[in-house]
Parts: sequence; structure tokens; C-alpha cells
Amino acid sequence: MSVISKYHFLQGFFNGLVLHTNQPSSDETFGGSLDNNVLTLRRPNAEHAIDLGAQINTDANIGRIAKQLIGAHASLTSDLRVQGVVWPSVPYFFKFPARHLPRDMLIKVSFDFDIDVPIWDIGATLSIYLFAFLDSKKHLQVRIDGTHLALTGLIGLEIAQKKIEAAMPQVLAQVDELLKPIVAGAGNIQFAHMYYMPGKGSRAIGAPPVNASHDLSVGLLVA
Amino acid sequence: MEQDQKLVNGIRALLGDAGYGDIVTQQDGNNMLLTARRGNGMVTLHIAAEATTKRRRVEETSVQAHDVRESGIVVPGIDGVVEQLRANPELAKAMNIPDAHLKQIL
Repeated sequence: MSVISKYHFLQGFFNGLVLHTNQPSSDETFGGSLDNNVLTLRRPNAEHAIDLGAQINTDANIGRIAKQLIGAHASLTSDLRVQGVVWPSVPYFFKFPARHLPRDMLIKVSFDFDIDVPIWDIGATLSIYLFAFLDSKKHLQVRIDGTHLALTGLIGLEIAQKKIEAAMPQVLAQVDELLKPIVAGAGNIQFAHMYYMPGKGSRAIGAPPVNASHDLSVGLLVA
Repeated sequence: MEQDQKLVNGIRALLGDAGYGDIVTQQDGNNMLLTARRGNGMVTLHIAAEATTKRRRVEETSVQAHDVRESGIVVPGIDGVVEQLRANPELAKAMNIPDAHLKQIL
């Protein structure tokens, strides 16, 4: 059965707490609209949903990232958060505004870590922006688009920054690896449309509120 | 700067005389950080160009080398978002769009 999902954003678009309701529908056509802080999605029965949060924030992936950070004298202090963001909100938008369209959404995977340089803990957050799309052959593609590193501390910030930058190729290589199963899971299927949903993409009538800063799902409709 | 280097050289010598080893000097932006170890002990010295007790924030962005956005692809997004932002500027805050970015698209 098709459902009409309404996402009421209480703390910003695809951010923080979101109230989520699903209503059964006989309408099989996809549709989406944003009215102030409410996103309405008409989700056909044939939807292929992928819970990106569940796929990315696994113990194995956390271990992979943590291992790379240890080499940079850093320790992971959070889960791997997965969030949807509009392109103009991405920190490097201003440098390359034409890289995407203003309407485009990207996936932000972020995590926190502490850096020991050499005795002062420095708090850091690395955000990795992913660009997911259906290519001209209608196949799902996901690739790393860019990164944003934020460090806060009293002293040693530039030293810490250099250490993390040195470890960045290995961290991104691990992220590339964890994206492969997501694309492979979509197989060689041709899709006509894709869209993002905060949370796990639940279709249940009594769906609980979701944390859009931590979990994101993608809906795919077969061509 | 030259005076600071003389100071660091003098301190390095004093630390060496006091049995400290693994003496490392690192440039930290405009500041200098010196560390030395003796057994389980440690000495740290931070020479700051400007004294502060406030935590600082440093940000860095990088992008992957990709071609420009291909045509004929399907990307999740919000159609008509520019028009909505024009009609309702509060939406930019909800979407966490900085003012400078907003001016670029409106």
C-alpha cells in the first residue's frame, strides 16, 4: 500500500527532532512538497528504501574510521551521523557554487573526535559530504564530494590540523569502502526517481519521532 | 621571532642539562610549542604571539576532484527551493544556509 508521509521539522530542515506521521493512500504516484517546516512525500508501494544510517553507522565502520584516527593521535568520540543537507548549506558552497544546483541535497556523514597534541585534548568534527544520484543509465551512484574539518581548542590547533590532514586520505579511503555495499545493494536496477527521508524511512502508521541529525534514508523508485 | 628562537635554544639547553630528552619544537600557527620528556615526566612550553584564554576554532574545507554536475542525472532535492527562500527568508535559517551563501543564490 502507498503511504503519505509527513515530516514536521521542529529544529530545522532535516535537523534534530522530526515528528513523523504516515497515512495509508491508494495513490501510487510519487509526489513531494515542502510547506514551511513540513515535508510531505507520497510514497508508492514499490519504493525501495535504504536506511543509510543503519548501513553507515555500523560497529565495523566505526572501527575502520577509529583505526585510521588512532594514527593521527585522535580518538573517535561519537557515532557516525548521517544527515541530509541542501547544497547551499554546505561549507564549501561559496567556493564552488556551480558544483551542484541550489535544489540539490547531499548526504553529510559526520563524527567527533579528540586529538592529543601532545597533551591538550582538542575537539574536532569531520563532516564528509556525499553526492548520491541516479546516473544517465538510471543506476545509483554515491561518491565523496568534499570535506569540512572543524577544530576547537586553546593551543596546538594548527599542529592537530596537519596531523588530521595527513590522515585524511586513509579516512576517505575507508569511507569509500563503506559506500560500496550501499551501491551494490541497489544492484543493477534502473531507478526513475530518488528522494531523501529523515530517519529510517518507516512506513508504519504509528511511526515514532526521528532524529534527522543522525539518520537518513533514501527512497528509490524502479524505472 | 629571533628572540623567541634564542629563548627556545636556551631552554632546550637547560632541559638537556636537566636530563630531559625527546625535545621537540613545533610551529603552531604564529605560536611555538616545545615539549620534552624525562621518564614519565614531561615539560611543555607554549610561546604565544598573542595571549588568550579563549578556545579557538579552526576550519578547513576540501573538495574532491570531480567533473562538473553531469546533465541527465536525477538528484534528490527540493524543487523550487530558491523561490521558497525568496518568499520566506526564515527558511534559510531552518536550512542552515549562511547569509553569504543565500545572497549568492537569490
